[in-house]
Amino acid sequence: MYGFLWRKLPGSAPLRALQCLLLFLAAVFVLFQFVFPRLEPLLPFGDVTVGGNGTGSGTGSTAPPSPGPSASTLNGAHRLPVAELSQNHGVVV
Amino acid sequence: MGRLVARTLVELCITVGALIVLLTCYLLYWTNIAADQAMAGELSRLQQQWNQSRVTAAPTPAPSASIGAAPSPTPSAFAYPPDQAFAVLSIPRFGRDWKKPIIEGTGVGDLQKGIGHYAGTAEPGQVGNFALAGHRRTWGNPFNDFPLLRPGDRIYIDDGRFWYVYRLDRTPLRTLPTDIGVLDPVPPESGYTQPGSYLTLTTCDPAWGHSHRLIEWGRLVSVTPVSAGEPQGLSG
Repeated sequence: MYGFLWRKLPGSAPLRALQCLLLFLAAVFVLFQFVFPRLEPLLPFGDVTVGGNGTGSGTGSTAPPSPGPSASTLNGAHRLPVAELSQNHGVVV
Repeated sequence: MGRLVARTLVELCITVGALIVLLTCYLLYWTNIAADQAMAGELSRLQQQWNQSRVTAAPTPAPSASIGAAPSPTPSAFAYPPDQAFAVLSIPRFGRDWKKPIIEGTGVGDLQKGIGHYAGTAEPGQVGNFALAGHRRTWGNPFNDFPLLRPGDRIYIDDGRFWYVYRLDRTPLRTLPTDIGVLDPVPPESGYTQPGSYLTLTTCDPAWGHSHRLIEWGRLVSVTPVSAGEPQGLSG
């Protein structure tokens, strides 16, 4: 397939080499910008939280990572009601 | 014909190899570059926001009252806006200049631009458990040195109004990812028995794996207004 590409590109050899380089850079850009960021949550390096449905999943799994406000990793049971949070007992210094 | 198949196969192998090398470059270098940039951006945005609010909402300073009023950082009338930095974390054990923004939330995007605050856990200084999560590897490796944390280490949090200082009480605990009890207001395994203002840090273990989590707990030891300067041990 690379041979085919080389034959299809127009121009002299150095010009073709330059076009190959540009194509390669374009491929790298697409990979870094779009492909790898979507692939990365499937790798285990992002699992740093406790609570089961972590931010990513190395086991190749289940819930799609939902970035944004809803992506809390806490279970509902552990989410404190606002009223409880707002009980400020002052600071133990 | 056989030649064409063989050549195509070889080119395919080369392509896959190149993709793996590129993915490694992405994980080892690019995520760190992107994260460092994002964190620096969050820090400066936060600083700007604080400077503005100090200019606009700096009425007559009441120095004597401000210390007495210090322990009421009016929490949770409204929660922190999600996915935004609201405080700065400093951990001298990780380096003199180690300073990261704390982002509300622990989603994928949150952890890529700072240390994530588990939504729903306490705010800094509050009674309860102020729980944070950070990447150990990739995306800036913020919690790379997590196993080096020791009892007595101090964790500094600046939310623009107060400096909160927490003191760690143990060496890191290794536990399972499902162990959400570590985020309880009084975590069962922490050794704490009374309600108090606690801090929890979580990251993954082993460094490149996801089978376990490392947990650290600390307790609040002091709160000082930002106007009083950096707390001891951080500036010195």
